[in-house]
Amino acid sequence: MSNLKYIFLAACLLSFNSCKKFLEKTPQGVVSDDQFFADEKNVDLAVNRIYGTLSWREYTIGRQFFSTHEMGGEDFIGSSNNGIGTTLNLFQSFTYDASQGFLQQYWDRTYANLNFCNQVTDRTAAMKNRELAEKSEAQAKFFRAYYHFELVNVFGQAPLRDHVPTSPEEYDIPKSNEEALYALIISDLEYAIAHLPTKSQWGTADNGRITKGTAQGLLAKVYLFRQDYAKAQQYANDVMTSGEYSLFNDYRLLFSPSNLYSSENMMPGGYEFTSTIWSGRWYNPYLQYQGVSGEFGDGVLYPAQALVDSYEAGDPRKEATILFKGETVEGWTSKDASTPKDGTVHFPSNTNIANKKVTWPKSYWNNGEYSFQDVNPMFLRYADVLLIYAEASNELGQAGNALPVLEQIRYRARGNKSYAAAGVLPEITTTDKVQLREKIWHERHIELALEGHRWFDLVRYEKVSPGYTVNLLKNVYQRTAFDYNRHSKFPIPLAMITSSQGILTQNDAWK
Amino acid sequence: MKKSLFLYLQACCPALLFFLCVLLIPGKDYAQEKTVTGIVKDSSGNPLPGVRVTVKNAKGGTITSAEGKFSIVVPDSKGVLVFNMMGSATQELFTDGSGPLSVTLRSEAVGLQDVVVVGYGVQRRSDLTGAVTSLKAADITKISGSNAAEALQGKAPGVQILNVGQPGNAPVVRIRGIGTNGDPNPLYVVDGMFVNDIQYLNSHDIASMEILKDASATAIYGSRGANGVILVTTKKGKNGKPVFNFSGSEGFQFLTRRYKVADASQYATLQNMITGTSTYPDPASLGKGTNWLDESTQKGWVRDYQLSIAGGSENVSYNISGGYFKQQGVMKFTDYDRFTLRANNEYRLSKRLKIGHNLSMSNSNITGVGSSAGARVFNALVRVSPLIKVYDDNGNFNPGQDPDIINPYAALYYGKDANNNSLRFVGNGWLNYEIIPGLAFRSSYGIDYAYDRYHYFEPAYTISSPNQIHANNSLTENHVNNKTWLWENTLSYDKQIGNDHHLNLLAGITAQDGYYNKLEGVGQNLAFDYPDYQYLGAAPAGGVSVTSQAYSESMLSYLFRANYSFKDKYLFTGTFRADGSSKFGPNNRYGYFPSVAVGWRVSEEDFMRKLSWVDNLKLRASWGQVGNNKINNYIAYSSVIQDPVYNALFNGVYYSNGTVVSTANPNIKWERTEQTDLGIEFATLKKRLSIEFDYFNRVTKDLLLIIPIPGGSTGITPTYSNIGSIRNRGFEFLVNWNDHIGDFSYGVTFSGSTYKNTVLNFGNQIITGSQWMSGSVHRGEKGQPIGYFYGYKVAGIFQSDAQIAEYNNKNDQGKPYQANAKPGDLIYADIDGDGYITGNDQTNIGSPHPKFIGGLTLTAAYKNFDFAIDIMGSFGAKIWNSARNQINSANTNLHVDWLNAWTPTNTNTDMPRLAANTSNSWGSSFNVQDGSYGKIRNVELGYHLSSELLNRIRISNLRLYINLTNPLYITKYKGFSPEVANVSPLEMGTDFSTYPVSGTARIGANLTF
Repeated sequence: MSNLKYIFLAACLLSFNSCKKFLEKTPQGVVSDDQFFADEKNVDLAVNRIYGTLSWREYTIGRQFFSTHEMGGEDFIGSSNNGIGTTLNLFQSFTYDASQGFLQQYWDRTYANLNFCNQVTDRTAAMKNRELAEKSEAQAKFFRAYYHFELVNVFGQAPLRDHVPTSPEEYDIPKSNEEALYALIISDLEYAIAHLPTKSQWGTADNGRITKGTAQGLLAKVYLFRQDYAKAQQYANDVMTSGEYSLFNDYRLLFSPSNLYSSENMMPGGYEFTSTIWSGRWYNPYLQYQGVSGEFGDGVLYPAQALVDSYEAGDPRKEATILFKGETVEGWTSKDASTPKDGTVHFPSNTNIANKKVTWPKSYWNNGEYSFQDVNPMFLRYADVLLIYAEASNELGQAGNALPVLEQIRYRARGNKSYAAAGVLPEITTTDKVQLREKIWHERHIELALEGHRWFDLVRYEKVSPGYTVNLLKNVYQRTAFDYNRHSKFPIPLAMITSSQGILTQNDAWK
Repeated sequence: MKKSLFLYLQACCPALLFFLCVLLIPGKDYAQEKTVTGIVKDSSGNPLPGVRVTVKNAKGGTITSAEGKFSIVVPDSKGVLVFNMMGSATQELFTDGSGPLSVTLRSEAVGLQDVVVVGYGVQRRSDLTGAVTSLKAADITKISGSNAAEALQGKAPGVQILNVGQPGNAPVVRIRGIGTNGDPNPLYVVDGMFVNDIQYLNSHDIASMEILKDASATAIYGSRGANGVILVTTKKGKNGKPVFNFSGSEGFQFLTRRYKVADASQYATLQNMITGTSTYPDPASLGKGTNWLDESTQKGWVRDYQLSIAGGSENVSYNISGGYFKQQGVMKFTDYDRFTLRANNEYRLSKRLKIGHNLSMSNSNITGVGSSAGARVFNALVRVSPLIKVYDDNGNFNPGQDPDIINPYAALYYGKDANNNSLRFVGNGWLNYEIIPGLAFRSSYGIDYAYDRYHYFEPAYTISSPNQIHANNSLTENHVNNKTWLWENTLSYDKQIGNDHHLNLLAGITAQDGYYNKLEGVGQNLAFDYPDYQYLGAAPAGGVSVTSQAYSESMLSYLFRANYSFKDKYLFTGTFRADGSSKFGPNNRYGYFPSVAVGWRVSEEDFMRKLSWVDNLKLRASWGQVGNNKINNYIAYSSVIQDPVYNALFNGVYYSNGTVVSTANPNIKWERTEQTDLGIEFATLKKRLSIEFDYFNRVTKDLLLIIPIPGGSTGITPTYSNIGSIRNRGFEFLVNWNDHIGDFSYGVTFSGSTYKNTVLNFGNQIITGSQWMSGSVHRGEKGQPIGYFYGYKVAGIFQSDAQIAEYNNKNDQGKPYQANAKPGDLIYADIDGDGYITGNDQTNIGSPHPKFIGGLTLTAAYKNFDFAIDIMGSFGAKIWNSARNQINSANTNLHVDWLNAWTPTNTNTDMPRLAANTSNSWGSSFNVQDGSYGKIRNVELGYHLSSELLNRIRISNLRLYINLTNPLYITKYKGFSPEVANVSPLEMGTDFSTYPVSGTARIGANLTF
């Protein structure tokens, strides 16, 4: 019996005295946010996550990007031989609806990115290291503005997120109108301008970070979209006078993987091929969907003939933007039996052209794979800012300010030559506001072709010059289903409307 | 007393016919109280637990232990011991107080045994108030697979088993429907150890499996019992001289069903149709082409050997066994092997103290299907062109005809070196001390240690981009350690009070602690492909990435059970368990799980005596609450995620990141399942016919669910909350008939079950799931079964432009009814009634839940021959056949059904026109097919060699048999196999990358000497 006593004793000790401790397991292999951010410098890691998602998979460089930023315009066309291409073409024929999955994914990722921003901004107020706090907050606020600006352009009205929800009551919230969204975008960018280092202050090691100039450039664009031309001109001018950025001397090489951090790139992407990270740093969707079907890339979408036809005679940017049938890609050996093995590319039956901005000699192809090229879109570049300046100036009746800046763009396009020397792209001289406006819009179209600007611009042009976009799409390109009122903004994803149960409502035109 | 014993005999449990043989041992007289011990066994020497032992004309009594042992106080140190087992005759035995005694109860019955193992004990079947199904060793080893749970298929009503074709993979097991959105697999308890699966077990080592279904039976397992519990008891030693048991079988696996894919000439015909060209002017000249199915499948060898030695003496018993199992898959380059070792010993140290151990080791390897293109293999198999050969003229692998379609043979080939090695030790040591007669203390300490190593060297190859390319060779090395200890301390008390009252009490405290860690390394660009130099160190600097993770968890539980019976007619069981778990939030650390059950043995009532044809009639009812704690650790804590995928790039260098991506829930707790069960047991025609019927209503509340955040604009990944509710209700039955005509004995068992699954509440949200690339959409939504298929409903086929125009008039906004519709396209139903088709017109297009699952077993024995056949069927479940309508590119091979596609000249068909990327490829009811099937589960013919012959070579028993497992399916389903085993309820019934279930043919021998 005495043995038994000890067993009972042991059991009782186990059960009562130490039971509370026994069930408390400190998390293994995970770190709580309290512990993590107790070390203030870790806020940097949270900022890094914002950058890390900028060129991650489909969102900014894949199908969600193409569907919301390009397909409504005339520059791209999806391949009808391909499921994704066919789906992308729904955005071209305006036959998509609110249940379209790409819209849902776009929504999800935009708000996920806003959360990454707010995870930073919610923590900076309590930080003791004010310099670090402000620098971090400024970067986070820039991106918060960037993504809210995306939301305004894609959906028009959308829920506004300026902090991480503190309780489930804040989960399901109604849309904010454009005014409220813009108010936040502008104040966030003003904060960013006030607190961000310039490009040179950041220094080379921080290449790739957004700068005071990036924030000024984006704010200029925001005001352009608001048709507040004085402010657009002012902020564009701030960038131009800062001396931090300049046009890169070669239009073709501007897009080269070697020149990710060129003097012109104000907001570089963050894709770099990494063989050990198979998710997002492996196949680059930006390239994977392009290329030439049967040869390299999937050929999900191609530049459209409409773009080719838009170039002025002899514009060297056409050659730099479009890969034509018969051209060669250095180092390439065609897979097609009857095609010469001298770099010539065999085109499938449904296209004779491809996007050359993303097609580089095979020496750039990591592991010999087209889709592994370190190619990123430039989310903001100096030429864009110059064109904003030119457009704003023209709208303000200052054609004299617009023309020299426009000529800067065309001068570079000619290969840093005057019209007299190059014989192509005559200098624009008109001071007629309407004529010049169309010249500037044409220049935007060509200069920034295939870079994800066209659709937002087309929607904006209709507001500036009623009938312009409707005429272009319906009459010129015969896209009869287009209804500006409805298609200028995408519907809020159906699943979100359903799950919200009445709080989040569909855009009127999509009801 | 004699009369009551006689009545006992009258009322015995239907399927059990035990005849007692009386052993009278002459004895001496002693004039004082004496304790007599002994063991009760059946005719084949297996110890019989649960036999009531009483002293004639005296109060009190006892029940034999799990090892068949008993200890009873004889008041006058001599008397007549009465042994009574439900369903059998009573046996009396005179004792003079000497011992130990050895009593043999002889059984002639087949089918269910008298005693069943329940949580933390054993019970006579007649005393059961819960719903428990038992399976004995003979049924378990008839199945050729590696996992003993497969034996439950079609045998245990209320249990749905879906076999998994890939060797070494556990089947999907669901008990009474699906009450969770998470892991619906049951809890396995092997000799008291809690394990997640029983893949490590050798089927030959199993003595019985008990499936605990209702809350009365499962509530003793508290927060882990809600999906049902499967108790596995392994074989123990028997008193007697050593018995050698050898069993061995050899056989092969074969593909039971084939996917009817077009051959080369049919493919050419289909290509001409889909492209609208005459690319192949003379399809017939192309012949059969490459048969990818034949190229990629094989007759896989299956072998199974086991040797065991069992025996014992008065104070020691042992059962030691070793086994080897090997199974090649039907797909080439896939196989599984397993070594097992077991030692189940027991030692009596003193009259009251016994100790013992159950120790088991297993070492297994799963090989194959590891290549990075692996998940596409089964899809490519039915889509790759038969005009392409496996190899080109230079002996290199040919690419598939489309980037999306890989070379399936090559994928299998490059996966051949993927090896999953699992080394596992599960064992416990126990001590049993009888404090006073009837009161016993038991302590058991067990360890479950698993070490898994995944080693995969994938050479560099380029077949097609982007899906079958491996630019650099790579080596993946994962090491996982999983260690759990469990300490259980219980007190049990068994007391017969007078003739009428019997009380059995159990109380216990148990503690469990587990630790998991994983180290994962991937190296690229190794210096050589040389097989003996495949180490991470061979990869260049910067070519290796290593990660690790860990978690730990603990549980502390208190349990209590009371069984009380009055006059053996009125039965009551009450159980209670309190579980504290580190997984649950600090605000909800403890869960409490009660159950109550009552039973009424109506046939024991006096008024029933007149109905002599009623051999047994028992009514039972139970209610209880059980939990499911299968959630991840640390949900209660807000944590930072550092995922290198999202590292930031500055100046060409990646920098690490960390942020909060998901919400935390400090209130997280177990799922609570409340179940009511009503059962009836009936036997008639001298117990040759027995029937058992159960109705159950099982409602899961506080369902752990990750529900989308309403509105979806927080950007935060939601985490689990206890929000949902699911109901499963249905019935199950088991009908058993056993008889013999002279030397010919036979038995028929028919079992069936049904359940209706309904989501009662998912926080007013719709949960959506899909299997990667499959195109199916599953939903969980209030009022619908969980995982139902969501899509467009097909209403016919457009026959003409005129008909399309007619449909276009259905709305007055001038919209086309269905965008880009052409004659031959599927007509989708306008569910929302707005006159045209949008995403809103998607609806419930089928449920993956079966309406009825049934099993029929026929057994027969004549002289030296025995024969058994198991047939089972599943009816009413729908399957989403992903491959048949996967035409997102014209470059695809197709099911031969497409030869009958709609054309202007072939309009009387249910196949739409053949074209790529049309609305016909949308997720619609066209893809949803009837997955009903009937199959022969198992057929076995055995022959016992005559004993005269054997005795001469000193062999006591030799049986030879041939066995076929899964040889035949009868189904209209047009995929590989209608058994589609996906664990997640939101992937249930999607047939995309399913490894086909195969058949097996074996010959074997069982030898005892």
